[in-house]
Amino acid sequence: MIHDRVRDVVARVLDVPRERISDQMSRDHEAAWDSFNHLLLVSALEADFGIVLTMAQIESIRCVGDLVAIVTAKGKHS
Amino acid sequence: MPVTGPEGDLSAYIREAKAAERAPGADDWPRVRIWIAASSTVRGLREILLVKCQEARIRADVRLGGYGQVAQELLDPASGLYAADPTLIIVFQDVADTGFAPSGLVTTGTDDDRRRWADDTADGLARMADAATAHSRANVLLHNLRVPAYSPLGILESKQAFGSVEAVRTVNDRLRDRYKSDPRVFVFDFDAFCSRVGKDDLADPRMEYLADARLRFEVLPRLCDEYLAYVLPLAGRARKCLVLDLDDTLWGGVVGEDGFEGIRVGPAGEGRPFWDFQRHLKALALRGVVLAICSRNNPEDALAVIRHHPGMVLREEDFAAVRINWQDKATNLVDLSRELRLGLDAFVLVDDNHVNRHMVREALPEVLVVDLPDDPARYVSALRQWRVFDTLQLTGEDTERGRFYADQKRREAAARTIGSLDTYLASLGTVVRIERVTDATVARTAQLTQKTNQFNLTTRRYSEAEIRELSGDPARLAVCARVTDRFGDNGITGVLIVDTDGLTWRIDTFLLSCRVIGRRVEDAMLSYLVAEARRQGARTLTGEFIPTAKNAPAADCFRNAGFTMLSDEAGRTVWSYDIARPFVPPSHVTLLPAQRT
Repeated sequence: MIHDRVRDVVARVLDVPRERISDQMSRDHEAAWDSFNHLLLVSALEADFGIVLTMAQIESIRCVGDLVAIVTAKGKHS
Repeated sequence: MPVTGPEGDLSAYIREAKAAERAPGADDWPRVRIWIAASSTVRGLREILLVKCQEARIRADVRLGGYGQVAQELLDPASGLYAADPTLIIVFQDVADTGFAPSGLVTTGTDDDRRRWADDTADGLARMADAATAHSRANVLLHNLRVPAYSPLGILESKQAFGSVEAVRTVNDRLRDRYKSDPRVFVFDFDAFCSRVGKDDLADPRMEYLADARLRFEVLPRLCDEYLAYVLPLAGRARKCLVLDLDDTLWGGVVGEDGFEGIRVGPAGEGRPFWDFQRHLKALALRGVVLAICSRNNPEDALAVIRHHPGMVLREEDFAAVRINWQDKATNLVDLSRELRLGLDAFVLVDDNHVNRHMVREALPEVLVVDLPDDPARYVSALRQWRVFDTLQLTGEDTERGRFYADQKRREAAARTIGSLDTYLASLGTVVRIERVTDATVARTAQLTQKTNQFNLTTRRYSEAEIRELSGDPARLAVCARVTDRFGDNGITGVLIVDTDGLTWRIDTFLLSCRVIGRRVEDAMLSYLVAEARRQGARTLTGEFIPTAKNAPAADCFRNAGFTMLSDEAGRTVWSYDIARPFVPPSHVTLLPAQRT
């Protein structure tokens, strides 16, 4: 469930087809995932899931798998 | 289609912007080229502004300057900024990027250090704005500085001889004073904008640290709305006429049901919000916005209130046109458009009734229908958000516009009683005074080239800088026509720009404000031009008619004046006149030619 929702947000914000998104998709290799879009992505996930990330957490995210992990972890504490 | 979704959904704007770039709008939309030179990260601003311009039916080319390159791009005449030939340059230097350091200048600096900082910063910003006007034709929107809401000195900040908050205010005061009378540089009160948004909540500190983004994404669309107030008049898209409903809009109650006594409007009690609303409308009228009434009512009932109710602020003479009948609003608006000779895209409709609003939005999409709040207590605060009437310069004609329409009503009343058109024209006592364009008339002349669509032979748009340049060019003749008649002064309502290099003079621009169409002012201007050409030894006069969606009224101008058609390519015609032939000026017009130099 969380997985799908995260991928939906990534697809929408980065404007990439849903099928291309895997947990391995990373900032280092995805052209659309530049530093500005990274902030947009984080904003969108925060809005969608009702969570707030710290600056350190934002910086630590390198791939879609990290996004899913953080969203899941944050969800458990709310 | 307006972008839907939460204001914070910047990615939606980015997608819309991509779509806007692929389908930039119709060919006849006005074009603007905007360059944003910002000292911090404002990515997103470009996309949002593009989308908002498209919603306003403007084809915008919006570019963001290089990161940290504000001074370089503005001070170097060979920079990419100037190569892009923008029409509007937005200079956005954030106070945080001016050496305003909390542990330096603010606390450990001396008063002299801060004075020096204020001088240097004000001078630096002015130098960039002045370079922009020197090296381009653009108008410049110069952000002032956000005055900090926080000082480490706390309550003792206000006791400093020259503290840091005062230093920033000083920069802003200097900029304001320096550019008050500058026609091209507008100081954008960014400090006021930040206060409205809330200085405590301007930035997301994480984004500021990670990306130097000093404004939250959600704030960017609001900033673009502010920018749009400058872009709309630049593109000639400013609206001109406010059409008002009566019942529960200008006054509380329905006159047809509650009667004259039951109407609520006045400085005390229930009618106060409506009274206040009228005062604000009156202020708009004083700066040149035209007011009109469109109401479904018995005329006698409604006019009785307008004429005699003691609580009314607006009276009959404040309205340029009145439609009080039982017809539907859309038909009435089209009638008003014809009577006032304004396109529907110049209208704003204010009506409390949701059904009426929806109907007009559907039937006449060019009309801007405002969402008047349901609670009259909120009418004034809604009015304050209407930024569609801004013009770039308040000319004498703007403030006189309301008076012009009142004069025009008298002219029309006269026309109804006088017999034939010729008798009417003769009775007007029209005087056309031709003047060379000077500093005093540059603004109005440029405004006319930008706004005139109907009687405009070639629809060439010129900025004030361009008009100024043209008027000083010895190979060109730039004149304007001031038209007065028995009922009043219409102001400057005609422009003629001619290339006079050689034996053939070429008419580049020839236009008339629609106020003075239909009485052969154009023939008077042409007779002046023929005489002037003859005096200076030219042999031939040529002119062209470039058809647009709106300028059919001008198509036969040259034919009617006795010119010979040289060519006709899909409606685009070229004409010539042999100066040796006499040109008979219209008899009912008194022509006062320009002083000979």
